[in-house]
Amino acid sequence: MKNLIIFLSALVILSITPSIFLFSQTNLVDLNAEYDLALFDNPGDTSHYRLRTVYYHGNALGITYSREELIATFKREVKKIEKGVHLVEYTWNAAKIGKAKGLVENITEWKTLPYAEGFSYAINFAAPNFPGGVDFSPLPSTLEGMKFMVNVLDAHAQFELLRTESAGGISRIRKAGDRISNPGAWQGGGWDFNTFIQGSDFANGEYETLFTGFSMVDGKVCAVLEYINSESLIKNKTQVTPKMSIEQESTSNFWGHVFIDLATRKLLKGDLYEYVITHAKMPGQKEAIKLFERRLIEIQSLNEE
Amino acid sequence: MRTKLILLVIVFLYLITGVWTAEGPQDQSKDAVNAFLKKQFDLAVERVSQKQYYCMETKIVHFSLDGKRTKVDTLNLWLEYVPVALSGEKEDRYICRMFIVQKGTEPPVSIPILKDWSYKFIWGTDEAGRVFGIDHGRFENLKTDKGDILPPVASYFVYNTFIDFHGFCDIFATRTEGGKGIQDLSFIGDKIIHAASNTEPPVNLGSNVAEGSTFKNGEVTLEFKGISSVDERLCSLVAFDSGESSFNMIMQPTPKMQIKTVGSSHYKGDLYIDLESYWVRKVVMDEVVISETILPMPPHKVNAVIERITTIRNVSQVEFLQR
Repeated sequence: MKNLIIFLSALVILSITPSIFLFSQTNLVDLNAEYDLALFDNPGDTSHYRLRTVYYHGNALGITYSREELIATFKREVKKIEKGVHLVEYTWNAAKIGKAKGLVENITEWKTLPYAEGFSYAINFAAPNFPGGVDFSPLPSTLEGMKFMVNVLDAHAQFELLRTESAGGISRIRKAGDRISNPGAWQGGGWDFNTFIQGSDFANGEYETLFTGFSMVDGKVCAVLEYINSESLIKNKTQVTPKMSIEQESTSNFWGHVFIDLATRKLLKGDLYEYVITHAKMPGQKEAIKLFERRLIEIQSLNEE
Repeated sequence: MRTKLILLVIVFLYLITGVWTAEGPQDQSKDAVNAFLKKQFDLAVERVSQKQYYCMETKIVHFSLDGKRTKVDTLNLWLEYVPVALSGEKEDRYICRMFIVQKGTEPPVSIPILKDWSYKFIWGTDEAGRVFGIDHGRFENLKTDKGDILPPVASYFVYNTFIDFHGFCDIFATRTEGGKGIQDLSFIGDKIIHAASNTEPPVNLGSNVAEGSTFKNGEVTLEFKGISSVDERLCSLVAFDSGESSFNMIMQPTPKMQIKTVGSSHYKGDLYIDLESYWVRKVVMDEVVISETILPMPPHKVNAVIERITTIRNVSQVEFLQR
C-alpha cells in the first residue's frame, strides 16, 4: 500500500509539472494541437454584434481630408441546424452615420439610418447564397443606402463565410501556422445595388487565410485567423442621379483578423483594413479622377441581449 | 484487495490524464493554455548573445493610376548578426553577406560593394547624421555586378532595406528608452502609442537625396496580439501600425536640377519575437505609398502608387549559407 501511495504521488507530481512550466516564458505551450475553427452554432443560439466602418477619404497624395463612420448593431439568431442546413437570421438596428474633417477630428453630428432598423435576412451557411440571396430593395438607392449595404456584406464575408468549407476551406486550417489559399481566390461576382450600382463586378486576387496563433479577448482564449487579399478588382457604374452616372474601376487590397472563442467557437471580434484606389470617370470628362480611400472595419461581440 | 487497488489505480490514471474532464465537448480551450495567455509577459528581455541569420525580402509593387499592377521589383538581403565576443571587433556587428536586386522580370543582380560590409547598429542618429549608424557613403552610385549604376530611387530602396530591418527588429522589438515601447506591453491585448510617433527623421542620402528630406511618422502603435509559433518556436505576436505618415524627398540629380516628391505612407505588420532568445523570428509588413513628383520639365507632375511587402525571417546557419 505504501508503494502504491508513493507511485500515485509521483504521478501527481509528473502531471502537475508541465502546467507549472507553462507559466515560464521559456517553455513551449503545445501550439501543435489541432483545432476545429469552422463556424459552429446550436439551434436557438442568439448573439449580438456591433459593426463600425471608418471611411478615410484621401486626396491625390493619399492624405486624409475627411473621415466618415457608419456604426450599426445586429442580432444573430440560429434558426435551424440539420444536415445540409445551417440557417442563421440577422436583424439590424441602431445604424447611424457621421462625418468629420481630417483624420482625428471628432464626429459631432450623427444621422440615423431609419431604413436599417429591422432590416432582416437569413443565410444558410451549409450552402451560402450571399449576397445574392439578400433582398436589398428596402434600402434606398443612395450613397448612404449603398454604404449600409456594403456594411452588410462586410459583416459576413470575412467574419463568417471565411469559416465555412465552401467559401473558406476551413478544414485545412487546423494548427497555428497553417496557411492556405482561400477557395475565394480569383473568384468574384456582381454586387449590384438596386438602381444605384449597376454592371458591377468584384474579382478577388490572391486570397490567403492563416492560423496566426492565440490571443485573449475579454478574458477568453481565442484562436486568431488572418486573411490577406491582394489586388482585387472592382468595377461598377454608379447612378448618382437619373441623368448622371459615374463609371469606376478600382483595385482593392485588404487584410484583417478573426478572433474565435476556443471554448464556444463564437466570433468574439474581427477587423478588416482595406486600401481602395479608384479611377472614376465623370460624365463629360476625358480624364479619370483618382480617389484614394482606406476603410477600417471592426466587429465586436456585445454582451447585452 | 488486489482488485480494489487496480480499480483505484485505473480511476486515478483516468483523473490525471484528463479523460474525465469538466469541459464540454465543444470546448477546445485548455486551462493551462488559458492561464498562460492571461499571465503577465516581459517582451523586452535582453536578447541571448549569439549569432543570428536573417533573410529579408521586399517586393515593391508598382501600380498604374487605374489601380492595376504594372511591375514588381524584388530586393533580397542576407544579414548576419555577430555579437562582440565573436566579432573580433570592439562591438556587435551586422554583416551584409549579400544583396540582390531584381527589377521586374529582369535577371537578378547583386550589389558587390555591399557584400561582407559590416556596421555597428546604434539607436537614433549619430553625429554625422547617419540614421542607425548606417553609412550613407556606401550607397552612393551603387553598381550592380554587371557594372550598371542603379538609379537614385533604386539606391534609396536598397539603403531603406537596412533602415526597415532595424526599425522593425530593433526600434519596435526592443526596449525603448525615454518613451513608450515594447516594454509597456505586459498582457495580451495591451496597446501603446510608441515613442516614435510623430517623429520626423531625416531621409537624406548622400548627394542624391538632399538634406531637408524627411519622413514624418503618424501615430505609431504597438499591440500585443497574442502568442504564435514560428519554426515550432513559441513567439509573442506584436502588431505595429505607423498610422498615417507623410514624406518629403528632394532629389538633386545635377547641381542645378531639383526633383521634389511628396506623399503619404501607411505601413502595418506583425513581429514574431522568440520567447526564449528574444530575437525576432519573423516580420511581415505591408505598406502603401502614394506620391506626387514635381519635375522641372514636362510632364511636370508624376503620380505614383506603390505597395511594399516585406518579410524578414530568422533562419538557421545552414539555410543562410544556401543562399
